[in-house]
Amino acid sequence: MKTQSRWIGFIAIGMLVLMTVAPAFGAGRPETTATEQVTLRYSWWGGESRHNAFLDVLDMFMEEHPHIRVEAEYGGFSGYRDRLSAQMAANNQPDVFMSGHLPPWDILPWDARKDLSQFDLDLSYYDDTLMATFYAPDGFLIGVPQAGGVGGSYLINATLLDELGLELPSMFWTWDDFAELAQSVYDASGGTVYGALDEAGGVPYANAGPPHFDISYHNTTITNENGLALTADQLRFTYEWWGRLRESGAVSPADITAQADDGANSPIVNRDVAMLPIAMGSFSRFQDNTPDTLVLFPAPAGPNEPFTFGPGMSYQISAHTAHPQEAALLIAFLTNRRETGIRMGTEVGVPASGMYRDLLIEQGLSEAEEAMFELQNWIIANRDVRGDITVHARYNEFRDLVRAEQQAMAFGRQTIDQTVDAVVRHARNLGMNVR
Amino acid sequence: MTNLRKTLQQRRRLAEVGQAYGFLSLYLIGLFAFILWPFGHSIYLAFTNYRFSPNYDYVGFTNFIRVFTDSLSLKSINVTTRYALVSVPLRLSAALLAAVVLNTGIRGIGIYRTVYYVPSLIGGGVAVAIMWRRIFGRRGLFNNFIAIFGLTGQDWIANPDTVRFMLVLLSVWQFGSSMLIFLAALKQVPKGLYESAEIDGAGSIRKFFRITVPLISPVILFNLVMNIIGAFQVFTQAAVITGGGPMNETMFMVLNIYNQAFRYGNMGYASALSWTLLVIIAGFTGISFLVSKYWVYYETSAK
Repeated sequence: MKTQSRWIGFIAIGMLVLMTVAPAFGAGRPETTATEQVTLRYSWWGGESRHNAFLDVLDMFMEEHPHIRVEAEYGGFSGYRDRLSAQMAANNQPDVFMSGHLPPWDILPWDARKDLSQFDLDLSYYDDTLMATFYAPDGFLIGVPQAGGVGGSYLINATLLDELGLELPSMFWTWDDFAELAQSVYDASGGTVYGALDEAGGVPYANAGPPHFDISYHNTTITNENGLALTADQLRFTYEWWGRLRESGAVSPADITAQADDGANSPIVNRDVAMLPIAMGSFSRFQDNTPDTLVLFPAPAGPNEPFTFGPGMSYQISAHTAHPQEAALLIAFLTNRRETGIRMGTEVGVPASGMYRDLLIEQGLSEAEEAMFELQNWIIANRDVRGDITVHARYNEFRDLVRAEQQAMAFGRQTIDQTVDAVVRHARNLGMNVR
Repeated sequence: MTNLRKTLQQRRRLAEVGQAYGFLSLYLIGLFAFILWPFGHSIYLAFTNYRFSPNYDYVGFTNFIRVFTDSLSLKSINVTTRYALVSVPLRLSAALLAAVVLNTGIRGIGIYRTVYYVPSLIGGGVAVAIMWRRIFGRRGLFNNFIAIFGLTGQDWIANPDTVRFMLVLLSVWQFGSSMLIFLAALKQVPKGLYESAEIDGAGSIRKFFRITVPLISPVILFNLVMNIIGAFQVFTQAAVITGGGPMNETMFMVLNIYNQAFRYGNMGYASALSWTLLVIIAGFTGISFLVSKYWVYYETSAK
């Protein structure tokens, strides 16, 4: 009897061990057929409202496709990209994920995803200009865009300007107009409000740059796939231009810049500054945190023909998924279904799908949504929207190093020349080509 | 017959041992798969240029040379060491002081103990880090408080001159666990020694330094070593409150390791940084033990 119970014990332990280690040997599974029970993993980032919307949509999808179970992996933006990169490196990425392919969102190689052009996806509701930014040069479709929010937006606190007796600029404003308005804000407020956030002072959450200023004056962002795209003289020009504004109070001092966040504690929400650059899709987040009226503007233009980044965020499929057809079914459901469009609303920004936009217009837009829709239309009509902007493979590392140098410059701990030298040195140390 | 009994006993024993290891196997698999293997593998990676790509090479001591030549790495070693050298003595002093006060038998002592321990319970988590930002930020509670006295504050967390001290302050505020250990040690000091000293005319300060400190010195050493290790591994506070800035003034070593590994993909270099951190911690711990023979008193060590 004892021997029997001992054997039962061994078998139980063995089964437990097998169950524990079995998932580790799951790689290289064969692709499934439609009738098999399939589990997909789908990951995204966002706030609670977006999570709830996606979870509802996934429920609808699973109801329609009972043989597919979707495991949701979601959380805040912080760390999302790092986690996705690590998952990709470990070949353990989700089957479907929300990601980007343009700076500052992403530096993953295109072939980390499946080419979506091989699937039967109806993309007729998507604007050609926007869709063009999602194709790699060889016709490789990286993803299906979820939001059409193009880059290059500025946020202005209209209430603050009104209180100071100042008027909103023209949509065709230039960086000179920007500098003039920023100085007026500082002067009219008696030095209590700074005109704008100092984009060259090392903003913690921002892209290295300032990107749209560099595009306007130097026709490039700070890096391209080869290395440092700006010359030392161009870097010096940018830092001197913003340095003059910093000295006169037109842009924020170093401490406000270094602690700026893009949420409830944003300097525009706290009325420390009247203007700052934002990603268009995050407009509601800023507006929800202040009773002031915030308005969206295109980034100012410079001497060069202004262009702007195409929308980055899209639904993508992992190159290593064992269930590509089911993953494509999920993307079709997310991008091309009335019920999805209605439930998602503007949770991921202005929808890229024309059908979704029409649905929302039919239902009536909020003021914030209307502002985003209008600006997007304006930028597409008046600016060159590009998706072929590339960054260097070591961009993330470089951006953080540049940020610290810009902060040291803004705090007066080093000169502009020392900052330029440091930026060039960092680029060289990271193996970038330097012009 | 005796041999048969022995054989049966051996078999039974073998089966029992087998069962024991069977039940332990889950833990052992975890230990090897998630602790020992990565631990050993990181030594190997430290000598490679592994960047999450299957194609990587052995690079000798290149990563370790970079640790001691890269300006960011040197800065992170510098700021971490300075943080540890300031925060550990301050934290231990605050913990000991609170423990001495709470050992005096005042009324409602349980409530006080709980109150002082609560910051440690809520720990170095994200919520506390965000709270710290709200207290010492430009429009924070502290600046509002000093404004009552007509003083103008600054953003204490955004200023490179004050930011590290703000994180030291957060560490000191969370002295609860060290305090409880000190409190337990203080309870063990024989009352009779204090009574004898009082008869000899010793005051409170002399009693503290001549009786209390020597008798609890092994516990002070324990807390010192644990706090040194903790201080060198500081991460959450900097990651959430400052992100390592401004000007990398709070780019502590573990935060730099995290960034190098998971934000930049420099896994080989991050492994070298990790091993450097291990050696630094081991060095400071070793020094603590070496000098302990001059100030730690063990009752068993007759002098």
